[in-house]
Amino acid sequence: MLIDDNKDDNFFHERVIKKSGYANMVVPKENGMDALEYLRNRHNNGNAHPDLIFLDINMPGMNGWEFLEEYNNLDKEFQCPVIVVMLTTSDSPEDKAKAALFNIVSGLKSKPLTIEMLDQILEEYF
Amino acid sequence: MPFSKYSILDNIIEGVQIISADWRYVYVNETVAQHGKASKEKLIGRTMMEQYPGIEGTEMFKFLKDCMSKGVPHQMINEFDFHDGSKGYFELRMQRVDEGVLILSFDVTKQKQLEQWLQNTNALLDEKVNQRTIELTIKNSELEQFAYIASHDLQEPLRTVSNYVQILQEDCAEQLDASASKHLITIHMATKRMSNLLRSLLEFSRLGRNKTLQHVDFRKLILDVNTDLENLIKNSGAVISVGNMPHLNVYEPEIRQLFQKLISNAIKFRNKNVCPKIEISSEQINDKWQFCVKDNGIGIEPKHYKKVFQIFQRLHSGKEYEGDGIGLANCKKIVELHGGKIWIDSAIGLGSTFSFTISKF
Repeated sequence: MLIDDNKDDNFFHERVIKKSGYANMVVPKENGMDALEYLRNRHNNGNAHPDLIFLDINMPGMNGWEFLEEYNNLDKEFQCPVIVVMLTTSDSPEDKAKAALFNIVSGLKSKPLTIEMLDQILEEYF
Repeated sequence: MPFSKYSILDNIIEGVQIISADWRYVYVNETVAQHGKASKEKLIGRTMMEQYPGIEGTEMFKFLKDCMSKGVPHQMINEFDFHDGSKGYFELRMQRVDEGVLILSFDVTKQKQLEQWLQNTNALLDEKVNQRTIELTIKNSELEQFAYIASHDLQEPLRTVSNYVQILQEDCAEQLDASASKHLITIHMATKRMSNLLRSLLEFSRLGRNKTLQHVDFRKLILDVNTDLENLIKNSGAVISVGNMPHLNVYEPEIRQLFQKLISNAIKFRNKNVCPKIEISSEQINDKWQFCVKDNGIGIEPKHYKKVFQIFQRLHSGKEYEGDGIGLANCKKIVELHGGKIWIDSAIGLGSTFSFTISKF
């Protein structure tokens, strides 16, 4: 699942993931509310519950950190095995510190998502 | 004429007055008359209470009573309210004499006024400086915030451009002729360069954001930096000597970056066919430490001494020497964070010395 308000980024990241052949399905969502609703509807989504979420931080309305707070309150069965936070800028000490507060965040990556990054994530978390 | 023995004091600059045990003026000189804004004739024979109603309640009168009854001498600055509402300040010395109490008075009103004026002016200045400091601090953090947001937010559209260039290159390769493909590569390189510039700008604006001082062994820090630069040092054949180094409280990551930049610059701008030699030394000067990084490189013209420290200013083309024009601007900001200055001494073709100072924290 991709959560990013930037359609171009979603489009590009979806393309990278599809080209990699690692995923059967990519679910792009343009805001945190839509994403949460999708996750809560797990039982109606068939086999399409995400194994991996790529989360953008800088989003209008509910930003990435606020999404994580809401996500934390979800029933365990609606959560996903891995969440990777996607950063606009690399090496931000503030973002790293914030991400560390959420146990559910597996890792931080800088945009754009690349095939090398996917290889690395798969090796590390799956 | 009673008390003519005092007539020698009639015209001296200090005020002299003698008060009898029943608080009457028995002698006053011209100066006292002037100070009191009353004539000698009017004063003599009158009591102090008649002349200055309410004087019994003053602190001065308490000391006067002690002096009169117990013979305790006293010295004080007396604030005096005249009938006309003005204020005077007098340095008084009182001592018991046969006739009662002798009071010497010296007009210090002018000094006192000057003192008060100075105090007020200083307070006003302090207030102004504080206000300016607050304004500057706000402006400064606004600027930092601006640089941060600008560089952060500009990355996003730039990334979109470079992403779509990649899509075109991957998906439309067959439809593009050779020159179109070349143009895409140019766009790709330009976006990459701009992205790097933005990243540098972001790093520049972030310098000193996390302010925690650490006690740092400078010798160890420099040797660590040399280890990080191992490849560069090995490939260039550079010889680096490190003199005596202090332990100081500094912002460690920033100081590391400072030495890394100065050492790598010293190697980068070397003379062709000359083995780079770099000497790093330190010296305590008054309350500051001064460090020098001396090389035998290509040198810098004096007219460029200032320019090299400005952000995005470069003396050489990217073909000659790679760089983003931000390294020395970072160095300057780091040194200034530590209350110091950075400067250059150089001779073209012979080498440059970058010197900087650090305040002791």
